[in-house]
Amino acid sequence: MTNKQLKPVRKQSILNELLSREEWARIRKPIISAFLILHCTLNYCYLFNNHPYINNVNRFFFGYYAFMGLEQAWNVFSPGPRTTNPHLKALITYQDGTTRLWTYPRMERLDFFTKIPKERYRKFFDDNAAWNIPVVWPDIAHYVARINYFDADNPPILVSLIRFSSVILPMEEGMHKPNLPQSDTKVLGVYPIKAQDLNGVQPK
Amino acid sequence: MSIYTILQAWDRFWFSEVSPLSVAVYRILLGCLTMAFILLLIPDLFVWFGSHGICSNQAVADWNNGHAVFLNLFSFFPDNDQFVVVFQCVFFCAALALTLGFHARVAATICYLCLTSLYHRNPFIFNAGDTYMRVSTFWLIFSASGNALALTGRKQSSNPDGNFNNYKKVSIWPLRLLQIQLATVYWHTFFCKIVGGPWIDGSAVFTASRIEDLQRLPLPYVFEHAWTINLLTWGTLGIEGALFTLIWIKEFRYWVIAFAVIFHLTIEYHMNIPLFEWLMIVSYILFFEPEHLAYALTWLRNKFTNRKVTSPA
Repeated sequence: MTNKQLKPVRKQSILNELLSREEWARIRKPIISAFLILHCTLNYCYLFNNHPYINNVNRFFFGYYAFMGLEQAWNVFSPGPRTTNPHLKALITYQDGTTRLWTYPRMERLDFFTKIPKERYRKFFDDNAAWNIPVVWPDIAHYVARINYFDADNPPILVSLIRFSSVILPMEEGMHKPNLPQSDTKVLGVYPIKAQDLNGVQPK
Repeated sequence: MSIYTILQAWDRFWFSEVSPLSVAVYRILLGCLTMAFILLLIPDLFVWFGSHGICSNQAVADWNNGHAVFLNLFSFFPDNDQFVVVFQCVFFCAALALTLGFHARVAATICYLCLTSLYHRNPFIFNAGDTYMRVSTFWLIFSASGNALALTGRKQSSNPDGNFNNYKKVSIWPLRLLQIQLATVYWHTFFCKIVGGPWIDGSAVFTASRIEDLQRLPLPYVFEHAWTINLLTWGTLGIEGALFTLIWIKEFRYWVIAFAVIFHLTIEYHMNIPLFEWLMIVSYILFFEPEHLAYALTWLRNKFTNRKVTSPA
């Protein structure tokens, strides 16, 4: 039999297997409408969570919403832009008592092109880790220890995380003036580095 | 007004049919931006997602109180740097396929899975633009974006003569979801801002301009005078307000979009938030009338290729 004699085989989707065209036509709109109403409602409830009833809806559906990664918030610069300029530094103490200061790529010190791929450092450190995500501080300390491990006989034994910041002056005070130096300090934590924290890492 | 009228309006809004052209153009542009997103992640890939990176799986689990289950492909291969590389390669191929329209729905699904996995692996590095990309890709899965300007899916497109106005119409609801998603961004940000404080007294743009780590290129004069700062602050509110209201009205739509593009390009010039402004700008395509897009595409094709096809505008 040549190819020309073969009848074309119509592709069968899973939907076609389960439902006839007529059945699907009958239930299509109610199903899609339910999907639309559910997701639009969830978006509204998540974004405008300002009532106990709305909070209950969120609690009920949060498992699905978070699992799917659909949670969203568009409150950038609101109710007002951030009023501080922060950066984070790490002080590494080695076994012999010497110390070394480390900081991540700071946007304000990078050139035009370098700062584009490095922007995530700003998000991670300046927006998040420097303020309200203490669960990552031990990880940051371990990471800093690993990348500052130069001598197997003199490993890092302690990493201190220090936040430096300054307040952005309000418009009526700050106009035509440079920003204040980032000199307010706060020690976020002091983390001992154990041998297992450096496991699998060769001294650089 | 009767219930029947409401149901009819619902039906017209969600279930009428439209050319797949605008969602296809959006798919191409979103695919390009997704590829840029992947390439920008590469230099520090292991810092953010590697086994010896800056944020462990345990820290993310602790942040989520340890009991939540998430859509995260990294859960299958935790702390495996080889998997991170393979993951990134697959993600790039999917983004390329999305751009080219090669099995667009499958490509969109893979892109969504990858974006969601990256987010759940390290949620602390992603900005609003990344969130928008992730959520938009989810809605794009449901759209017939592969029915136009695509490598595959030509059988459905019914466009034998290359006329951009001639695509077979598809259901509008996925396009509506994408449009509503865009409007939701501005709706939420608008209402979060007008509750008072610096956006009402007109000083918010001054404070934003003084955030050192966000600055890209200086804007002379603008941030040194109260009247320009006030104008930009209230202008921001005005444009964001229009982007979830007036954009739905045909007569205002292109004016709103024109102002919004200028607004986002100004931010792009002054602030270093890679991809966010471009994502917003390309999303306005979703509000373009398909026949206007067809006209523009025909003009571009006639301009840059030898193939001359006239398109009824």
